Amino acid sequence: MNSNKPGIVRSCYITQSSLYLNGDREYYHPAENFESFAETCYKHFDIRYPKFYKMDNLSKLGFLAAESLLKDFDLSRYIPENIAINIINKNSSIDTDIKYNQLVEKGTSSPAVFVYTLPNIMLGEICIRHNIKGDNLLFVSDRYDTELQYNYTSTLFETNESEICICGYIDYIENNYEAFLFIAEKNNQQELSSFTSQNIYQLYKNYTNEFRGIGTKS
Amino acid sequence: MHADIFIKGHNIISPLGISSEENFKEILKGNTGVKLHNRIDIDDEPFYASLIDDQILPGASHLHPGNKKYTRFETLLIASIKQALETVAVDMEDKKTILIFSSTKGNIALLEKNEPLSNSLEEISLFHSAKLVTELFKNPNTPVVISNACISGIAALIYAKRLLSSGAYENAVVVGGDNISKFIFSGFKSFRALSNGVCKPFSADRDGINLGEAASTVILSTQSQPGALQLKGGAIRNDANHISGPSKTGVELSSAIDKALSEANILSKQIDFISAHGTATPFNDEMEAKSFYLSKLYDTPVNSFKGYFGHTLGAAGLVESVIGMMSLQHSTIIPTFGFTNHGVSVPVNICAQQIHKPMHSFLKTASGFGGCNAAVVFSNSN
Repeated sequence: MNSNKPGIVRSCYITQSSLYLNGDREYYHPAENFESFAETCYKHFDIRYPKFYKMDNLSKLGFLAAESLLKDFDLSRYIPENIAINIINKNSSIDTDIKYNQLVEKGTSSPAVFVYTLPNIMLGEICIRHNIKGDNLLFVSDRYDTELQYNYTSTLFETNESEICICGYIDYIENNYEAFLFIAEKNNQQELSSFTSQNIYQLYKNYTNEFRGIGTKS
Repeated sequence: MHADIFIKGHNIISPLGISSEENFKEILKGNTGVKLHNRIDIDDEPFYASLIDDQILPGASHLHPGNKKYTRFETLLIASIKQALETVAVDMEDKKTILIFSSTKGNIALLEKNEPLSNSLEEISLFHSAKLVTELFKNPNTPVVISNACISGIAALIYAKRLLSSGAYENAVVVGGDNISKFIFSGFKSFRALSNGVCKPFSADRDGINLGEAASTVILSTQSQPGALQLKGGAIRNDANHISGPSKTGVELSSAIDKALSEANILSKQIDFISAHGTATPFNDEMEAKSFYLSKLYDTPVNSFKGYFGHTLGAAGLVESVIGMMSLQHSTIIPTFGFTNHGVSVPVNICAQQIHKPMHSFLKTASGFGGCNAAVVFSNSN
């Protein structure tokens, strides 16, 4: 057992009406759109957090993924400042940007919508919910760049900046949504797999392949 | 591992000038880029902001109708990188050089003015802009884009420092910018966050921010440079409190400051001045003052450059770091433009007059929506 090696301890994946946890499908609810999936998912997991209803879709997606990922995981044994989060995203907050711009054109711009025109608000929402106070970065890329995420998170561990990190990819645009989250622990004893770029990529691929498999069967 | 990260070069493009030196000179003279604008494309009413006139922008000729190769946002970034490269030799085509971008809204103006979205939403994407700029400079690496609200610039510097320290690259060209349009302006207006005049950081009568346009570049390197400053430490923290309001206590920014100082191996009393975020909103400046107090920076002179540049969003952390670095090198602490009288609940030494003295280190802080805070420490090499 390697007690000093960073490991991936949990993972979660959400796309098109499905939610997976640690490789298994936890919840499936065919829904017309993300909003209705998000709402039934929220109710299914018996989450009580009224702020959820104020969030935009990107934040709701990130929130639900983090909620599943951290359910039954004791994050409180870490000092909040030692918990990091970094997320890669492709379309920034474009979905809410378009909605906000429509309000501007009508002359009814709203601060409650404007605040969500920043992609890192999703990180803020997750930090508030789980009392995460450490390093937090939002990268925008054209794909889920596991190498970028692995390299950066490794630096956080190697420099003792962080003890644990919530990592992944969260993207939302026009009802197309995908969230992949995992927990990387610096000193890990019960890992799913060791923390390497290849393992992150494989884990992500397993989910996307699984989803494609289901898609063709149905 | 490379412990020492050096500043190889930098640039600021703002209404005050197109080089770091021009900007610094104007600031020493007490000039500001913030003025009253009548721009119905941005707002129906006149407003105070620091906006770049395209006339002063190098390479802006292709902004003329008919030439759509680069947007105004991309032109700002390109101009800033080119200007920075005028003064230092960096092989942009080298695999050991990477480009890092910092912006909040990039090409968002393309959504407005009924401009048809010709090539789908891709043109608005920050990564698309980053790729275009990277290709122009023939850099072989995939660019990195950081979008962390108003700490983006400082966050990009911290990211760059960690990346270079890991040995992955020799040079990091960090460039940031934002373009003020109706989208951004209306948002801050809806928050009632805009000042009715030139902003007044840390003052009792402060009433909000001025928005500003700038692009700025900071080139970091693992290679030692004679007389170069160093980026000694940095940290990012989250308030975990509210998405649009800062912490009530300042504990989390203070934690970022303490971590940046300890990484830099510098005591708070060795900090010669603090370049604060100092947006001039009631809540931000109060929170920041509390965090300086918590980090035992009671007497350290504090300045905010928002009165000179406005809040330049994705460029802010870079612009203000560059002015801070030049302050160190010119042994001059810059006064806080717009400061009237002390207006926060804890003692804080707001710099209101130029102070001339030899200096070693300064602290730069930033905070933003999403509850994020960042702090970095720059020092002389000696």
